[in-house]
Amino acid sequence: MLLLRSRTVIGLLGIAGVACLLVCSFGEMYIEITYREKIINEIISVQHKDLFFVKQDYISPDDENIGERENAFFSELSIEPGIILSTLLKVNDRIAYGEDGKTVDVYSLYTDTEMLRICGIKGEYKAGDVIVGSRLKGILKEGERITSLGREYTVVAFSDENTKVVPTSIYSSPEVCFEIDNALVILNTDGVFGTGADVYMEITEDADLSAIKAKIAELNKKYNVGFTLQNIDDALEIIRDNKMKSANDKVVIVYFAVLMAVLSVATMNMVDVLSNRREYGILCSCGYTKRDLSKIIIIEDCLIFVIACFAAWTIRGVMLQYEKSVVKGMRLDIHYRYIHGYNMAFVIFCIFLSSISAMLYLNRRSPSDLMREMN
Amino acid sequence: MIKLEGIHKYYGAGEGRVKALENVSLEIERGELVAVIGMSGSGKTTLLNILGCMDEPTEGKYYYDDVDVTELTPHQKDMFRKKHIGFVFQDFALLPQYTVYENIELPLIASNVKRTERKRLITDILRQLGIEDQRDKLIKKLSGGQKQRCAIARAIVNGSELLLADEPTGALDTKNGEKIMEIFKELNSAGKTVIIITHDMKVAGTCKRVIEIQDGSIKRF
Repeated sequence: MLLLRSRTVIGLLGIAGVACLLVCSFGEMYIEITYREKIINEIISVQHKDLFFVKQDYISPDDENIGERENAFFSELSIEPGIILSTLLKVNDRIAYGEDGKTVDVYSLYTDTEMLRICGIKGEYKAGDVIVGSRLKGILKEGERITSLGREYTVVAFSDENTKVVPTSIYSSPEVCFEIDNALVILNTDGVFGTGADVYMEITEDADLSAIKAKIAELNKKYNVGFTLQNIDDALEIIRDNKMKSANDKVVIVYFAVLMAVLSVATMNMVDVLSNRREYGILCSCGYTKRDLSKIIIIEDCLIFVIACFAAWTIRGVMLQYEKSVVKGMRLDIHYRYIHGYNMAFVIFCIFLSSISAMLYLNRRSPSDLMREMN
Repeated sequence: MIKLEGIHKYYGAGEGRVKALENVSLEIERGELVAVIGMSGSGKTTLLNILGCMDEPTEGKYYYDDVDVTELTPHQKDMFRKKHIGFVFQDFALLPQYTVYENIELPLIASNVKRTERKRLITDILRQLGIEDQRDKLIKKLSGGQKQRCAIARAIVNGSELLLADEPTGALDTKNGEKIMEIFKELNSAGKTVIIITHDMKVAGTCKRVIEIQDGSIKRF
């Protein structure tokens, strides 16, 4: 009924809108974290424990010979029966396929076990076979032999558009998948950034792990590179830690931003009440009680936050629609399904928090004080 | 109806303490038309604020119909003010962003009166005070006399039995001032208790009783 504070409503709306957008982002981030955590757990449940990673622990220096040195490192490492993929491919490599030599970029590397599960392929297949993504379905046929990087493969299956490939990207299924020996190469055709991949290898049961580690350390020195050996649990733990660390940083930023927004709204509420003291005094003289005034503040703040939330929700929705059109994925569904319940509760809490100072001020002043101070 | 016993009011504390009222005792019966006169700074407005529960006395007792108002909780005082008291101020104290109708509507909204009933009451009061044609005008478009009528309408629309007016003619010319005093007399004749704060002896002369305050104390009862 009474928007006494029309002078600052736009300012309040702006601040509240920013806060709500941040809260939306917070909710989305929360969902993403839990979703990724779920994926990591799924990987653990399907992977066999003797799968190891040779993890690259350094950023390749910008020198011309680093590629050669890395190749030499893996050639000399030569652990049977593991195949060191990076001797063939690395993330961001560009490879040609098909007769016309169309090129695609590598954006992730997966183990075959994982890809078999992902693509839902059962039964036997042997090294040298290839699973091809939906984009090449019209070009290649099952059983057809293809050549890539000088190696020959047989097409054994196709992933389809509904194939859910999630371990490193929740955006979309890969368009093209090549299986190379014991691992799969997921090729990027959409320009989505790869999330990086390590080199997978299998180690025979009787292999001496400490000897392999010692060998890696020795070769690191020899070729001036920095690789380490980890098993799947270690690797996933590191992934999880990195994700959580990154998420925690975001959480701190979001909390800080929301805190600042609440403080800003609270300050603007106070400024508003101070600049409208006489109006509040007049309302008291008209029969409004202090409780009525508190109600007015709360109702106005609710109105402001609801409008801001709606605006934030709309803006975020439009942004996600755009994002969906770019990445062709399921992220939007996640957003709509989970976010707003938590956020609305949080926003309601913020409303009360930001209204308290103004309400306390009014409650501690007599009506004549309120009337007098503006005179 | 109204009984003040030994009312003291001080502002501030310690050496900076300022006396506003000192040992004020008085009685006002229901249906009286009383003028409270005094020089500027004599404590007239402070007395009005205490009578209207807009402020609290530092010491003393205030009885209204044998109810000890000084013992009421802040919320009970708010409710008491809502139920019994209407205010008229020298500067009208109207909300300029609202129309005449909306300003008069405020006390009724505070009392949770239904919309249709509000409309009926406001229409009646506008007619009674001769400003029904100003109903939808913004306050800033009214003359001084019209604004004061609007303020009076707002003060009495809720059926308040005690009307407290602080220099109600102070911002008006003589002609409009006389008209406003006529309205107060009519309201008094209709049974309302009216207390008018003024320093204008002419205005005081139209009231049935005059109380004079000097330096925070009652000089003439």
